[in-house]
Amino acid sequence: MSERRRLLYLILIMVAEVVIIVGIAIFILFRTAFDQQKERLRGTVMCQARLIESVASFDAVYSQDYPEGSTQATLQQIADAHARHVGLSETGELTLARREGDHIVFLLRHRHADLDQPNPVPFDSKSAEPMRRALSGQSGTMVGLDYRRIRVLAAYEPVAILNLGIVAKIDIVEIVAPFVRAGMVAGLVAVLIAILGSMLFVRISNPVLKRLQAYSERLEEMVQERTAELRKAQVELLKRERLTVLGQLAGGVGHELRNPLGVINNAVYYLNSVYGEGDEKIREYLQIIRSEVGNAEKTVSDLLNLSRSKPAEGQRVVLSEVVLRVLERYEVPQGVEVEVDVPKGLAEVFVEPHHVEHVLMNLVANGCQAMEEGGGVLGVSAEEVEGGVELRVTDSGCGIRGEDIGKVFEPLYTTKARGIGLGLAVSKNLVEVNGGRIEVESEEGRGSTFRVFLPSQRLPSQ
Amino acid sequence: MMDKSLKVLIVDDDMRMARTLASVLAVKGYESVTSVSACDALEKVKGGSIGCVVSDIKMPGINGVELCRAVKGLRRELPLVLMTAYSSDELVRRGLSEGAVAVLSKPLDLDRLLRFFSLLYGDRSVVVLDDDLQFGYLVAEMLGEGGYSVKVVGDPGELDEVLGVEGQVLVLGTHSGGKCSELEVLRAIREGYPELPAVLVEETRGEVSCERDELLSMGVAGTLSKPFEIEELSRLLDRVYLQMLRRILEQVFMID
Repeated sequence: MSERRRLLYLILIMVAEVVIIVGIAIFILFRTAFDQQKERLRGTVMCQARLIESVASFDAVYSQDYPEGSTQATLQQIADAHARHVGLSETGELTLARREGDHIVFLLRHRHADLDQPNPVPFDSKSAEPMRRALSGQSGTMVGLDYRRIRVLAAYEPVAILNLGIVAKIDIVEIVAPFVRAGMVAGLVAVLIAILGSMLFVRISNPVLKRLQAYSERLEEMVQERTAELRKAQVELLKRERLTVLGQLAGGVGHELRNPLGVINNAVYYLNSVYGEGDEKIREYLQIIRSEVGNAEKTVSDLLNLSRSKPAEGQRVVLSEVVLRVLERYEVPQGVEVEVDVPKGLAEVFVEPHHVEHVLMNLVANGCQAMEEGGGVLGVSAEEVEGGVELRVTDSGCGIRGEDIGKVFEPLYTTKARGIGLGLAVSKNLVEVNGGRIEVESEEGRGSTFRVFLPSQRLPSQ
Repeated sequence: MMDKSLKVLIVDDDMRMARTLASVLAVKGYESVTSVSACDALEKVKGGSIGCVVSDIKMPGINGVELCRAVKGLRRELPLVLMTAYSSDELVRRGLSEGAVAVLSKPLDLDRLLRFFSLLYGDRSVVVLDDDLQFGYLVAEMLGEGGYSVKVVGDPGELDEVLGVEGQVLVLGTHSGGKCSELEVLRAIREGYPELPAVLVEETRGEVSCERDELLSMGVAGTLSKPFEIEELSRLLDRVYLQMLRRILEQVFMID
């Protein structure tokens, strides 16, 4: 949900809330005011009725000498008093009437219409309902139409002695008006407050929301990380399992193959010693058998090294000595120049020396093979890095194609005519069982660099 | 010094392995006997006339490592080499800790193994360098009685005439020219003969004030101070030879 939309919903909800609350409050107040108004009208009308009755009974005794009679005297006094009093509040007034035949005849001047001589109203019409009730001898309050056919709240009371009816009334509109006004003002203020409040709320709650959002994102990230870790662990586990099986198999195969290879090797050595001096052909063939035994042996030991999964034992090793030993043993092909930069004073590494020799031998042999055509420079260098030493073997040979670079450490991957592609896979495994890492950088046609990190400390898991 | 009449005992449950190795040794002039089990091998060791044992590790019954322990129990000084087609690191380590000279992987590097026997059975050759020639001749005479072939040289310049044979050990005596001058001579020699093991003889104890580590790094296997018993030198030389034997085989030593 967008922030704008959220703000809008929030404002709507708050406005609705405020409107409902204000509405209920105003309604209750209105009801109370209405009831009070009713009581006031009722009090007024009863008081007036009793007063007129008293005056009438007084006049009946003492105003007999009034030219139009005592009744008229009473009415005259009432009319006179009424003329000096505008009325109740804005629209309220007192009306006094009597029934003459089928008509209601009003006796006092009216506030709203027919000022001095109000028109009579037919007795059975819809207007002047309160007065009809008063003239019918009823007493009470009601909401009904007055002589103008306007809705009013009215209290009605008969005046017993003169057979009159008196009504005190006020327009409903007048009672309602202040509440409508108050409702409108309160509503307006409420809406303003609601808008301001909502904006304030959003502003205050935004950082909290943002924090919550960030946290939930982080949580998601963590879950993803953990999932990736678990997946990696699972892959690793599967790999280990495969390696264990491969290891057992390789161990068995190694034992079964190396024994006959050993016997062949001894026999060839013997034959070469005894007959090697004689026939050229015999010597050549014996040499072939010998080198093939060597190749077979290499494959077997590669397989064993590839399946090795236990961390290596390790010891303190001076890398420069290992490099020296390997380069002494390796016959560098013609056209290849070797540049060695492995300082003697380099920090010692904690590894199995013959593993590192094996790895370096593989890398050197690979580098030289990459430079078979045209020669080049083979660089072997090392420098201290955090936690160990980085050994680099660089060649200026044919390089590795971009799409192949991810596969060079996979077993059985090879671009060479000979070999089954175990060399780099074995190297990677041997480096890893020693707690190290191996990486390659290469540019096709420019050469490759293999970086081998070797730790200077025994691995904690060992 | 190995009596040349003492035989090599080859132990392998694969008879063909033992036989072919015996044939190779025979061609190169070493007498050997074969055994297909550790029990039989132990009987032969008890019978005497065995100068060296080469044994497979994985054998039914008693294995090579246990045989090694048993042999060392009978004759501590008897050199024993283990070989294996495939063994766990653990077994290889135990073999070495039981006193085997080395653990070789099959197929064997026979050139190296033969160099090993050549050093084991060959004449032990010592070159004594001391400007006190009298001292040199005295040492030569006494070592000669023990079967060593000894050459005495009075000046470092003459060393090139006598050095260069595999298995030589240099006994470096005093050389006029102040303190630590022996080390300077040794440094000069190192340039031509980086691997030559050396024993340092001081005029008086503590004369060579170098650290042990520095001496080791210069290939000094041990120091003696004049005067010393010839047995002391003999024991030191025994140790040097064992190290040399180890070094010959160590480079083919492979775990797995």
